[in-house]
Amino acid sequence: MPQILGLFKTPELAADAAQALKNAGFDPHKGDYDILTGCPYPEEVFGEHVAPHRLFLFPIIGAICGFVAGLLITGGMQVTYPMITGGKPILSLPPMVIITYEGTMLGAIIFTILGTLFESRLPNLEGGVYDPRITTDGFIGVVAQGPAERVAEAESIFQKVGAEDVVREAAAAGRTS
Amino acid sequence: MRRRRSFPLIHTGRPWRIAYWVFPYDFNHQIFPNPRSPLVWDPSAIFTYLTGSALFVIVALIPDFAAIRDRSTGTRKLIYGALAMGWRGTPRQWKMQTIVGVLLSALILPVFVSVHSIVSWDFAVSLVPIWHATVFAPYFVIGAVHSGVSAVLTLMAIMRKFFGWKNQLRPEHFDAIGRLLIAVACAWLYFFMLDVFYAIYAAEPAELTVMELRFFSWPWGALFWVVLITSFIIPIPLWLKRSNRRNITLMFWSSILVNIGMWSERFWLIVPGLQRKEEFTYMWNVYNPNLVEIGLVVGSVAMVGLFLLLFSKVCPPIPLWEIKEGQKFTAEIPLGRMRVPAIVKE
Repeated sequence: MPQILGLFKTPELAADAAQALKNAGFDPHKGDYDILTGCPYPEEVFGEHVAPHRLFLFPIIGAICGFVAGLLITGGMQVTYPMITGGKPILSLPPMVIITYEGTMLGAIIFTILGTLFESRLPNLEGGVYDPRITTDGFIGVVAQGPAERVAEAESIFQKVGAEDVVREAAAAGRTS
Repeated sequence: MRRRRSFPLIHTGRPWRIAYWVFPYDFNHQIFPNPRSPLVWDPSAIFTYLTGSALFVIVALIPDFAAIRDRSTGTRKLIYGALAMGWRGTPRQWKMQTIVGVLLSALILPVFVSVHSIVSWDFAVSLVPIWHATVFAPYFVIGAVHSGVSAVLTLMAIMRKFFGWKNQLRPEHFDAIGRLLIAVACAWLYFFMLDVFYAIYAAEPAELTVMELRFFSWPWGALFWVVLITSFIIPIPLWLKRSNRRNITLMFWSSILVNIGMWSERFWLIVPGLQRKEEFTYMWNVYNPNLVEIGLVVGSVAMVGLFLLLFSKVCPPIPLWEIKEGQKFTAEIPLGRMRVPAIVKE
């Protein structure tokens, strides 16, 4: 779908552009427009919509996987190679706790990273319209997407609100990759 | 931590035998994986810590990789572009970045505690005198915090001086770390004394004998005073005064003292237990490091510097996006549709 990027000097102008897009029928819930910034801003400063995420589930699932793996490795080792000492149980619990704990934490950490990438939609192989001035000069980008006529409408909105520059997709292709 | 990261193989003794512990390798020689051995606990903890820390650094650097990508050209742009993975800086991506910082900090902290506890158990599950105090785990953890945070202080002072980061590493940061170290050093001294008192209360002859050697015989008695003076007696009274905590030169040299003291403390804690009495001559057989061992220690210190310099060369040691964020929100400001409470920096 064609995209267009408006670059704004201040957060106020970017918020105005986002509001104007909303008034013109661009729906943030459907991803019709989005904001690009070089540093984090407090939520909803631009009146944007961030879809719900499930990042908190990932460490829990990872921890369960790591716990089971740790239990199977330590239990399996001792059952496969039993070390019978003075009638004591074959499964020695204290070392199992240690390795299972490390497995649990490792699983939680790895899944948290994977979850972050997944929820951030990274790696972003599609690229999308982008301009390096967002990080180099502190511009705030407002990206609109839709059919060609809607993109043209967004462009006129950006010009009207006071965009410093407007970047079309063809001119910016592949800049993020 | 970096030294530990660079040394997991050496740490395991004979690294070519790792395969024996990890994989069921050589059944004919009765070699089998045994999770009851601390030699299995230790690599599992270090691997978790190493993986977690490395992933944390990489994921936190993604926005900075994107910033470098946007400023570079040619091969460098390709490499940083691949590392940035197509980051664009959408509100969703920033939100995930903020949450993952909190989540991973919360997950890595217990791993840090477990790693140092498990390292202490490498010693504590043995029967060597003075190695098997039950207090070893928290004692090692607090010792790691004391030496680790002091090493951070040393590096901060060096970076501030040589990289010119006067605006990023300010006296208030040194002040805050100094205050933290006062509490940490007091806790360390508490565990240090507990370790000694446990030996006295238990009154095992072997333990008392080695303890006596540690305090009253050359060179261990002298080393004890080095540990106590450099890790506590000199730095703590200095750090109690606010103007001292904000004096970068003083903080640098006092943190160097703590580094020396804490390294000596580990030597003093571990090595005297390796002494053996020769029954008929009434002589003590004392450990003397050979040239290879001295080389390993010197090399490990050099490697810390090397890795730090290499990292600083290719990645920003202070996240650029956090600096930008701090600059944006220095006061309460009207932003977009709202007035936002700004991030107040000390």
